[in-house]
Amino acid sequence: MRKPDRNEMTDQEIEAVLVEALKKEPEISLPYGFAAIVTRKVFIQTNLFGIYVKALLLAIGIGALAGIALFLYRPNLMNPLISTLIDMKYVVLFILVVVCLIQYIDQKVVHRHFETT
Amino acid sequence: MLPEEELVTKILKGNASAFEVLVKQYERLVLHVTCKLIKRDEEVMDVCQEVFIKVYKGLGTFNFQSKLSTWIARIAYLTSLSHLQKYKAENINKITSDGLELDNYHFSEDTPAKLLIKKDVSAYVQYLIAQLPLSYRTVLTLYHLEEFSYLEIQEITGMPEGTVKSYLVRARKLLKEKLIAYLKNE
Repeated sequence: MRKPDRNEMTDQEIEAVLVEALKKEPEISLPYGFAAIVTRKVFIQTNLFGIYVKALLLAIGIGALAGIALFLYRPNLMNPLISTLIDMKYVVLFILVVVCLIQYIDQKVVHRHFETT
Repeated sequence: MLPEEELVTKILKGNASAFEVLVKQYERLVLHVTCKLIKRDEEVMDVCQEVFIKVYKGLGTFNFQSKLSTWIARIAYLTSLSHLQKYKAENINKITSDGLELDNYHFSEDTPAKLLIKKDVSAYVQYLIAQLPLSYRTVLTLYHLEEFSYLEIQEITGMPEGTVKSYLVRARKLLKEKLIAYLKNE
């Protein structure tokens, strides 16, 4: 807006200039795709339980497929594998708990920290 | 554009696309409210995101007693205030400042950088608005930029209608005086 000369302007014109300036959009804008970013964030946050259940079912499915394949193609390895797993059940359980804990801390602390900074 | 009720119903049924439509429809409003209250640009996007997360979580309680835009603007206003309180970016007492404060209000002195701003009338007015107390900035934005009525501004900010009118008149009077002085090259 060109700077007008006060001497040329009436009060009504000054009022109009002021109102026009008040109606001017701010220079700041949201990034392109803001709506998509927010939507993804909202739906991930609210469906976190569903995502974990799906991941767990997927892991169980992969394990079951591997077991079936082993039973079909190398049945002689099944018994030693099962006995080894039973012997090392606490180690396996410990590894699973640590992996889940790392994932949980990553989601709750690290991701949230970087989202807000 | 979908009617408000239909849009809300779809979102409540878990339709992500409907929510994206709502965000696109109201992102400009939310941005205007937050950016007038929060001065640090890098924080504005975070607050806008927070506003829409609250909108999604609270949509089930929206009862269509008011317009959706008014309800969202209120969430944006309250979220911005709570952000300011949390980070103490601005003295929160200014939020509830009364008219006396504006009567004795002094704009900061000009520096060469600020004088550059004065080359443009709009930029100069924006520069003056940015220095006003928070309540005045909010009322001016909601009334002029978003064209809300006095009653709607009352609903959004919780200020009585009389206070809204008084803030508008005082802020505009002060800005006009400053603008006249500027145009006279005082």
